[in-house]
Amino acid sequence: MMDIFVIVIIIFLVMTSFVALYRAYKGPSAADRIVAINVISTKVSSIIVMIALISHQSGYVSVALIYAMVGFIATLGVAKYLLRKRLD
Amino acid sequence: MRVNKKKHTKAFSALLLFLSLVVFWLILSSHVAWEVVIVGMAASCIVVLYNLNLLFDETERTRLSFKGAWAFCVICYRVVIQIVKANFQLVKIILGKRLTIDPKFGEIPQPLTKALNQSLYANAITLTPGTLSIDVDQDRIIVHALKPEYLEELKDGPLEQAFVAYERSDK
Amino acid sequence: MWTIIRDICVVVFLLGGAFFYFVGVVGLIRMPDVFSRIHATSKCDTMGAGLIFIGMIIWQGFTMVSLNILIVLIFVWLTNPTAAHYIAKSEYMRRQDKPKSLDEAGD
Repeated sequence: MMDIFVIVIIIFLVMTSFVALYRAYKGPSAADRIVAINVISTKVSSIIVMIALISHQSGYVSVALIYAMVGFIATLGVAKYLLRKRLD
Repeated sequence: MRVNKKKHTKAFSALLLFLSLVVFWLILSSHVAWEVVIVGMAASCIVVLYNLNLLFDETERTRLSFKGAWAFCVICYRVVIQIVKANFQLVKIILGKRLTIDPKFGEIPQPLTKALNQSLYANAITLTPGTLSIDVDQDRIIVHALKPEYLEELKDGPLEQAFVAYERSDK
Repeated sequence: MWTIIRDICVVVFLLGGAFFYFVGVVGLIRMPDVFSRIHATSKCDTMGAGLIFIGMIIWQGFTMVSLNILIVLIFVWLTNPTAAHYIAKSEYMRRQDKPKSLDEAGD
């Protein structure tokens, strides 16, 4: 019963992240696209935690941690490129 | 004497970072055996030695004390309260029929002197209702506010008093 | 009896988290300029991730896995405002460099 409810929440979050992808496609400036990708990476990290618990694979929680770290570093990298126009 | 004290706080920072890295390793590996502990301590040592020039010294962070721990708990409590308030206010703004916002930039004075406390304060400002910290400097913070009255609420508010109490707790 | 109370708590937390994520995305679409969008997403994502992870911790009970989830929660709460601050700073600095007439055209 609880598994079905969690799956419904996961499907809802996937749909909202597609709505955020619309902003990343349309967004007039580069900062809009970075914000949308940051939102999607946070959502995906919480979706991975939920999938780890309903499939009883506790190792996937570490995957969620690494995904959050990679998303944060990617956001900082692109924003730094936007700020300084170079990456060295 | 001065240099000696600075070295002392730096060694304490290194010890703190080492202990927290070992705890992090043990939680991630989720079982305790002696080879796991030894490999974790070796890895934490390498990370601390590699990052020695990034550690905080006494000009950048407040020294730890029991009074400071209590002040930090007060900060955490107030930040959580502010997060909940900010979210309900955003729900009211976003799901309303018309967006009742009037965005503008503003400056508030910087009450803190140490670098770590300044960055924590900027993060807390981002999470308070209707404000977003943009640039942090030694004597001012540039803030973007959804409505001008949120900017006025921030000046000399409870959050700023909590942070000033935390910074003065080691004297 | 206790499992029913626990399940009701989990359902409430998960519904709250999904609702705040939804509000963040609606703000991302509806708000008129970049800084207001960053307002909406930084606050609502922090709250939504916190509620969903706390719901998962309650559902799991106190084990090693829930400690792992707690680490993910602390990491997300520390890094989310930092990322929002850095994006806003880079956009603000980019607008400072441009001439005045192009300033409003970015929306």
